[in-house]
Amino acid sequence: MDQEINAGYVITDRLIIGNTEFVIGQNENAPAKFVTWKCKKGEKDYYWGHYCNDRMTALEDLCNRALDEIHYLRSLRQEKDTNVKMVRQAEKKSRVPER
Amino acid sequence: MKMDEEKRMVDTYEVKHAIHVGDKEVLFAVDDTKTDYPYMVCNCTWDNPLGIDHYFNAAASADYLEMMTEFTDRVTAQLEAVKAERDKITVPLQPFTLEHCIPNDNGQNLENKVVIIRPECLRPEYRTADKQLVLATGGFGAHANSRGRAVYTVNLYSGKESRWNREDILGTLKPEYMPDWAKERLIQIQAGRQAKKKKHEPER
Repeated sequence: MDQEINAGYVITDRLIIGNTEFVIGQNENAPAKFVTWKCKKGEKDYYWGHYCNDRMTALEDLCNRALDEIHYLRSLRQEKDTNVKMVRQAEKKSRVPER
Repeated sequence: MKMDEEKRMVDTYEVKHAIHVGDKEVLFAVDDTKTDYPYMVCNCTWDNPLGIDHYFNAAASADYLEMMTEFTDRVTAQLEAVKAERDKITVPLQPFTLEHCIPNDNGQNLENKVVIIRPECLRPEYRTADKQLVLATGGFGAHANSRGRAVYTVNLYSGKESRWNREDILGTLKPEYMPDWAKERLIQIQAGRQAKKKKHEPER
């Protein structure tokens, strides 16, 4: 498989969380050798770069960004579950005959 | 996951993400046919004499987010472990380069010499002097003009025994660049090896 390059950085690692991707880019000749970017799954439009000078920091940042996305997706799921519960309760109530 | 890797399997699970930090790799793998546990996270090491993949500490679940959290937590924990290990090192970490050595050519005998491992052959987090300085103890690759590649070594800092290929050696350390800690450790390691050798020699 060919190496993917964005803005001179070789994409070395990629994490996919839901519909979002986080990647690490590496460029030995750049002032900041590593970067983490976010992008929509399947697209190559990388944005919100976090730049740093060593791989450990880049990996840490990648994990933190992934965890933030996981928390966000969890909160969406909880919200959805709550909404479904409320709709069901409302439906149940409407079926109970009035006395 | 590294972009240039082929499809990788752990049992029936396809590896979707793999991050290597320090002495371990953390894997996230998927098997959609396993409806109860389609998502799996496990660790992998190669720290065995044959360098074979050794998978362990597997956890599986049907909850994607739970397993993704487990994956990122494990990578973060491994990063912390590497940092803690680095903090314990008391010697200068500045890596050795070509200027510090007599470059490796096939005409040299490396046996019983202190050699430098090429930084690019070490993981990025391990490109430090303590990981580079080793005593070549044997192997066909250690001999001059040999067809063999294997060079057996003892790390001067940790005392850990390893196997490298001849091309992984940058060169022989120039004596004037030998740090004091390495001189001390070299004497200890050589004494230990001599004692071991004596023990194995038959009495006459």
